Amino acid sequence: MSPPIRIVHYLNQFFGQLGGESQAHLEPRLREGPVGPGVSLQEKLGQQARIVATIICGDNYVAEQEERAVRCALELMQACDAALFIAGPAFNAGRYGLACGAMCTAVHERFGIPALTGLHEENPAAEFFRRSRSLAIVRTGPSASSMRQALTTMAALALRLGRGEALLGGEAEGCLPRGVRVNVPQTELASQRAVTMLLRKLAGEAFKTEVPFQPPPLVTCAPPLADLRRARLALVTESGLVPRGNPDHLPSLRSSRYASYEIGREDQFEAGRYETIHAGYDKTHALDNPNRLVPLDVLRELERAGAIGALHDRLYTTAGCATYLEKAQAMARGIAQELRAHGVHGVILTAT
Amino acid sequence: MDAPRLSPRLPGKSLMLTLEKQLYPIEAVCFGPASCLRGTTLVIDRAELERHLEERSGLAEVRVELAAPGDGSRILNVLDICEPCVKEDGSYFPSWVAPPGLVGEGVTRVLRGVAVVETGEMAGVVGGLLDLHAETRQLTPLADLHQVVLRTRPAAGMNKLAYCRAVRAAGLRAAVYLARLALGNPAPRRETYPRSGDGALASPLPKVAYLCLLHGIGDLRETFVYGARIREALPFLLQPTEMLDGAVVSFHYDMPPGVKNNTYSYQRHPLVEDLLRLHGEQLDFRGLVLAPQPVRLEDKQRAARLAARLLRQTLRADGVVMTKEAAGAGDYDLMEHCEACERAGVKTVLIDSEQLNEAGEGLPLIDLRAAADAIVSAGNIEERVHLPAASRLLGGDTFAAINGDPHAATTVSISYIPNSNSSLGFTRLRAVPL
Repeated sequence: MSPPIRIVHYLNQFFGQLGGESQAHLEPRLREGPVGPGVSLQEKLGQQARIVATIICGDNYVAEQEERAVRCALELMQACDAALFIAGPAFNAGRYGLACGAMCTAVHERFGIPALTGLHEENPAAEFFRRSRSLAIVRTGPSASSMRQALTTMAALALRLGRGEALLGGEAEGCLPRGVRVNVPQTELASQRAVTMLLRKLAGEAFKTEVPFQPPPLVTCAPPLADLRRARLALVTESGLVPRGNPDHLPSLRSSRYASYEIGREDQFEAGRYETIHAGYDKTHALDNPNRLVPLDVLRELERAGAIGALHDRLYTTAGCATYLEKAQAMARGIAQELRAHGVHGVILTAT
Repeated sequence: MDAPRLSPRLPGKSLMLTLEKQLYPIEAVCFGPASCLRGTTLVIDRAELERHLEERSGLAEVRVELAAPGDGSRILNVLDICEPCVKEDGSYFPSWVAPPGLVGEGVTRVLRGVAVVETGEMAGVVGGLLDLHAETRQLTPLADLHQVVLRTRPAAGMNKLAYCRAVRAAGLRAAVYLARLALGNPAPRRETYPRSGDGALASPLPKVAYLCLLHGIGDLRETFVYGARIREALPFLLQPTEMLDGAVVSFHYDMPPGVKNNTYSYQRHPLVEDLLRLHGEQLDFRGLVLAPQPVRLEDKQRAARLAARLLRQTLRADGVVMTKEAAGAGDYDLMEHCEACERAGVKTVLIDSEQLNEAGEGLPLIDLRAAADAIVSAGNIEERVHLPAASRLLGGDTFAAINGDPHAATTVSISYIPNSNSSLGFTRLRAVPL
């Protein structure tokens, strides 16, 4: 039989049996073997793992000087030769939860070993740490009355982590949902799953989509301009139109940046002086006549004819190719703010 | 006067072609003094094959390199991939290698377990990365194949399009050259498509079809059917066995390999293979509709309406699995087709890859509509994956997505790995909520 997995357990002053709120100022200290809930955790772990030491620290000490608390705990752990770190469970206790999360993250980064804690979903630490890949967070009840259940799940995951198994976390494993989607190999090809799903759908049997419907965020249109002849218009585009040479090095794919260029003296976008950096379409016709991307030529005619009040003297541009939604939203907010500052009333927004 | 001869009227029956694939399982590939098939070992006369490909492709140089599953090789700059196949007349791939003509029936000999991998480097040509490492084999089913890798160098003055055409020619010709070695040898295994004829349609079975959307928006971003461009096509019917027999050839040379459909994946299309195997037993496979993913909105909507009509009125399908190609705008095509089919009374299941951010957050698809209530996930194309160090490099000495030593352990976007997120469903990866 392989030697037991060496575990270091982290507790606050209360669960570490040093006292209540009056002892929350205590600095980190090390006890050999399991303490408090660590004793029943050890029972559940059995022969395959051993809690070699327990680090106990006051909640206020961590809350007030986290960096120092973490440094001190890491020093205490140096000699323990641990293969796994467990903190808590902290249930819905805010300061304790944040301490468990901080300790787990620091230990994982410093020693490269897996770290595990237990939190209630409403613990502020849950929101803060659930997306982190440095630790696994077991879902617990709000209070210590769910201790037994929490320790059972934590012990089972601890043994898997200790054996070097990769843990994905997430609800299927008794953890808090991380709110992310991760690629996981399945036994069947996607094509086989599709045939099974279709046969179930046709038979009127229950089936479960693998990509649930989420309504896309809707954009409410601004009210129409009252009088176009008095309106100041601007040109905005995701077509990737830039001055030749792409002076700001805008990316052609997955962009998170836009730039603006002076066009006050231009009558049209002259072929040869402008190019497109967009990675998503055939550029032949665009290079031939860049006004096909952004109709500066036509807008100048309308401006001269008095059909529009004025054309703002800058072009705002990015390459909208495989752009993440949140990046697009951030760019849009930036552009809108600039346009507003320049007294722009309306925008011709061209897409490719 | 004789009455006109009419075909017998067979309501509810399909008239499917039958294709027999004679399979030669390959367990080793090596170089030798003369190209031949020795049992399960494929022996290649390297100089002869290289000369053959150089003469017929117009490339300045073609180097043939070999790699085996799990040998730790890293193949860089991967372009298209195909399976060695040949008809009894010694040719294959009509309009590319064989003269124009039709396929999908009769006998095709196949070297099974081998892929021909085109590689090449030029500005504007997007290549992929295929590691044959045991640790990463779950990332793509193609890592389980023996690889005959073509390292190519363009002739002087070749532009991007001319180079890719030449690479295309070399890849397909290499596949034919290798499969010809099977001619005259008895086949150890054979597979017949469909497995059972229409006669086996004893009881009423669910009538199922497949709708395959093909990306076609310009040079180097297009799929060909029988040598014809897809971009101007209207939706049309193809015999399922034609797709499995080299009628559909990829010409995508500037798109990340993880999100495009390579030629190998059409030749071995797992969905078409499964539907043909299950035909007459669990379902009634009514047929296959191909439709373009064109550029203009009007063309997309027309294609969706016409495809739905073909599926419902011509094939009488009750249900359809649909797939698309490429990321981004392809989701819009898929949703248009999904809505058109559901409106026409054809129930749909979609296979699609997801475009979340690197951390797996955000909206999974560019377009997602309420009608699409049954989607199979082919995984997130933006996830980053760790690759262990490689034992050797094939297909080039540099790769655009790896800075520094290309042998070293590295982290890359999964979209560089061919078939990682095959939206034809030729992948085991799925994005799972955590």
